[in-house]
Amino acid sequence: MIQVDNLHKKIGEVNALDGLSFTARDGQITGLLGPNGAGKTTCLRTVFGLLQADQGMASIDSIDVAKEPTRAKQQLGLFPDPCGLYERMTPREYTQFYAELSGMDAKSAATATQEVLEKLQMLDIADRRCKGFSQGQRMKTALAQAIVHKPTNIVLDEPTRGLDVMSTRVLRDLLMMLKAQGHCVLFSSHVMQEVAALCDHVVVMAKGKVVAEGSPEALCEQTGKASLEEAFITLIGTDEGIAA
Amino acid sequence: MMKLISVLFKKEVLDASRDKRSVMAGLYYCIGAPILMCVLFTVMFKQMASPEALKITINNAENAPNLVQFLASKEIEHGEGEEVKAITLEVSEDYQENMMQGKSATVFIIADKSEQKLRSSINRLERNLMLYNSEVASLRLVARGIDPTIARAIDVQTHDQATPTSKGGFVLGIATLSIIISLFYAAMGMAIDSSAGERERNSLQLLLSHPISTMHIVLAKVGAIAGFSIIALVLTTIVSKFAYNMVPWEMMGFTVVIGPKFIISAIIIGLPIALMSASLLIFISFLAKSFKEAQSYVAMALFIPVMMSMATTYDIATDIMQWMPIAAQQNAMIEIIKGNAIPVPQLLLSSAVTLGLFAIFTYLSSRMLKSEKVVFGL
Amino acid sequence: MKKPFKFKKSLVKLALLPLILGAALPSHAATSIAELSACYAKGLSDRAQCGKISQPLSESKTEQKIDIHFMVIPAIKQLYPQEAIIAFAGGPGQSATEIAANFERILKYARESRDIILVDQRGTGKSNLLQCDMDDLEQQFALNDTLLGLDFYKEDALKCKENLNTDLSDYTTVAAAKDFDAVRVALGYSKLHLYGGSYGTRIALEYMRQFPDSVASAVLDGLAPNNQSLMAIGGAIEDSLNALFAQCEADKKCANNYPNLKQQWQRLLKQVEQTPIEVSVLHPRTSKPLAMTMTKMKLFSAIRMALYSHTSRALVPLAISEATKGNLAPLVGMMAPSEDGLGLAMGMHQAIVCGEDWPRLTAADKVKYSENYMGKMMITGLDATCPIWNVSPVPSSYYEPVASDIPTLLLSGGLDPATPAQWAEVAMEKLSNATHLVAPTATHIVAGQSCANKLIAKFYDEKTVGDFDTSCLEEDTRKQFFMNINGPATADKE
Repeated sequence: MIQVDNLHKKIGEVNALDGLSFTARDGQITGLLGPNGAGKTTCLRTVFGLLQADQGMASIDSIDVAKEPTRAKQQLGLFPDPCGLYERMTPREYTQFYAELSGMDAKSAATATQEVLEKLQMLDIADRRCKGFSQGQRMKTALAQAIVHKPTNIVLDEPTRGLDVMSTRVLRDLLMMLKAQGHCVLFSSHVMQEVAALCDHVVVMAKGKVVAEGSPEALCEQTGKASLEEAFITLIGTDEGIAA
Repeated sequence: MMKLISVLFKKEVLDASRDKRSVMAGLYYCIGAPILMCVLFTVMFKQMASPEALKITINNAENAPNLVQFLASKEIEHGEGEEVKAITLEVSEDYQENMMQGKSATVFIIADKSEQKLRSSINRLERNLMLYNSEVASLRLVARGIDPTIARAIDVQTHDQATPTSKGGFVLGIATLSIIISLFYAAMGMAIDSSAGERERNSLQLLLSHPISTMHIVLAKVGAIAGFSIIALVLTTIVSKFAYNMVPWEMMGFTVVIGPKFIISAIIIGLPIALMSASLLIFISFLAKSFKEAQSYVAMALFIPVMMSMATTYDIATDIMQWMPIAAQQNAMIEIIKGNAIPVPQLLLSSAVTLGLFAIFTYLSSRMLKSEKVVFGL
Repeated sequence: MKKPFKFKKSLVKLALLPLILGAALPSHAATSIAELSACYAKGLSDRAQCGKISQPLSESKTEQKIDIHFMVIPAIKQLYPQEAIIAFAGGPGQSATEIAANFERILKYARESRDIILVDQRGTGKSNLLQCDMDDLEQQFALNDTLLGLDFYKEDALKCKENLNTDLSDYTTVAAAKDFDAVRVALGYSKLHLYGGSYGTRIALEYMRQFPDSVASAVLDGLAPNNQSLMAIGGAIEDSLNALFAQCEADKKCANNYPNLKQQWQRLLKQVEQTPIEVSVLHPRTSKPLAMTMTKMKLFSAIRMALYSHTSRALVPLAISEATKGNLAPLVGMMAPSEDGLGLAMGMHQAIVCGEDWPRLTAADKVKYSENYMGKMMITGLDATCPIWNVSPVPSSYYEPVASDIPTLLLSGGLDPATPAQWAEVAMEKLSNATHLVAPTATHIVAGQSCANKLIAKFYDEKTVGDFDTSCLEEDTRKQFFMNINGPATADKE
């Protein structure tokens, strides 16, 4: 479970987060939807502990990220945007490295790596260096890294950016699987369809604040619009920065 | 904690060792620098040394056949063509007459003494003319029934404390300079790549999002870079060992020998420098906003240790310098090659200061990685 | 001012020395068990290493020890840490360490890659020097040796023998060779390259015979081998002097200036033989008036010693010519250096000559070698003094030619007044891997002249003369004679 409570964060002169609060529950896929510049990435970085909130707190499984970063982060898997691959390492080396960093010993890290590579059907590229990988292959590698140590919470920053149709499907299946296993999945996106298709719970953000949240259906109901897209535009008051 | 550092260290080593460009740059330095140096020394010595058979222009030679014959026995002869040095020995017209009457007979040396390449040849000509002077003077005294030793009022016996190795002082300075610089330059590319490069490729964020402290990351990076620096040092010394054998040091009357004892000492002395150098490189690279900027900052910062080393090489301000970090360590290396006693207090102090700098740079880097501005290059 | 050239000096007692003088001319790597300390040789500014080892005095007197002192001059660039060059001094009686600067110059090129070992042979230098008292110049000048006869030599030998109070039989070449190998072992070298000059060739040959496995190669310069009597030196002196006369004769300037030089010389000899010239001369250093009795022995010896180098040969015509006019100054100048006894350990010298050369002389030899003046005087002298010194003769096997297949280079000078080229042929009899090169105009010790020093370095490296261009040895190294007191210049231009 990931909880965000009254987060404030000023970056330069801009109030990137302005009293943001929401909860992503275990066994659910929570979507953080907002136009570009709404503060999605800032919010997620605060959850990772990369940024310090000016006010408010973020917690993972009720552990305050700011106070006990190491313990909190052990319960977290991360899929950053951009992926941040090491071009000169293979997916296997890369994944195992992060597994060990997250606290696994070398042997179980190797086993876990093998499992996750199988699960993501990427054994064919497992021992090739990442340099020259397609966007889909990169995404899979980043995802393998995010889930290899089997964290309860998985955070994905714009996971579908630049993915082709096939890859998107793979990702979708994967998220569904994680959800089925009872993980708490939080992802940010500005792609409406993805959110609509996947999420159990949608948090709509604009200008660092939550403008509405609930299931996609509930949001439509709330705004009286038939589609989430329409509802979204109504909620944030503009269609700027939204992709269908 | 050690386990995390070792995981990070292994990743740094793996990643860096696959960085072909940086590895090539390092290798290029380690192999190229000593070889290039040896080629330069060889060319320089050949130019500076007087050729065994020195050809000069001798005018009016017929006036002084005995002198000309004497010079010929010292392999200084009149020559024609290309190998003739721009030195003219002119015998005066009244040479014979003055010689016969026991007056000083004049000869002129006409040459440009500012010409480096001629200097040793001019000196050799002057020296041999002095020898001829003393030979004729001695015989003149003997012919008068006088023991020529009375013309030698004092018998100067010089006891040179130098060894064949220590005579090459300046060359040793350059040789150790190249070894010290290898600690700074050989792993420079890797250091920038693993810090500024890591940030630019966005992998740093992911790393920092993991349950590890920034100190772990910095220590692992510094360790890996220092490790490469030490390998570079070993490689440089080994290449030097073989390359130096090719240089005709004996032309200058000395020798430079790099033995296993020196290589081991250099590693021990170089270790603190390697750590300091690695932490400095990482610190500066993180300080910069981009990869490009890091490259220029690093180039500027490395000027300082190189200057320290240069000061030792050229023996400037030795009294203060001998206590300074890098200068003192280089000095110790020079003393080891010379076979002299190591200046222990200087070495210990400077090594301690070097390790202190390593601690400071490491601490500063780990602090910086906690700063949002640095991590996101804001 | 450069060290003035050194005359091979003379004077009565010295005059009878059959030789020789070797080099009167001109970091240590292997694991050493000998204790070494930094030291310096005269005239050599480079830092050397010195040490000593204790050796039994002889095989029968093992409880008595003698300290053998040595010096190592480090290579410029040590390329062969297991090898070194050992240089044997001449005389017999020279100290190798005292003339280190000469060896360093001769072996300059060879030293670039190898250490040089110099050992004071037993009885010389610091290794239990066996020296006799020498007369000073005043006594030497005044002495009329023709009046004193043989008693003079006998008395002198007796006095010295009493002072030394040593059995000289322990100081022969055979005994000394073992010391050299003990030094090699102590210094930890596995092979040595030998350089011997003059008498040094004899000890080098003996070393090759006794320790063939310790020798990598040998250069023998100016041979005085064990199977050649030193008494034959008289002929070499005559030949060298005659060559000088011929040289003057052939040179128009010299022939004009010093007509009939040889006849002048012979007339002068005859004159002093009949009546020594009695004059007052000035002391060469103090200018104090001294009484000089110029006897045949003194005259001949002064000229003989001048024959050793081209520099001093340049004065010979002038000295003879002036002497015939009654001016002995040039001869006095030539005699000046004899005061220090030529730097030879006289006791050790007698041990070698009386133990090795004198016992072997047959009656026929004595007749043959006495054909010339110097040979005759020497044999007379030895016959008088050797019974007093009473050195046990070396075993007859010592005179067997040394048989060896060690790469050996022999060098001879065509104008050598001490060790003529024929002696090298005698030495080579059973050297199966030897090359003999003669430098036609070189005097005693070829290594100090022309390109021989480079040739030696190359020979140590390749153990063969190989493709070395030896034509440089043929270069004419003779100098122009002094035409007047100021030098070779003359008024008439050529």
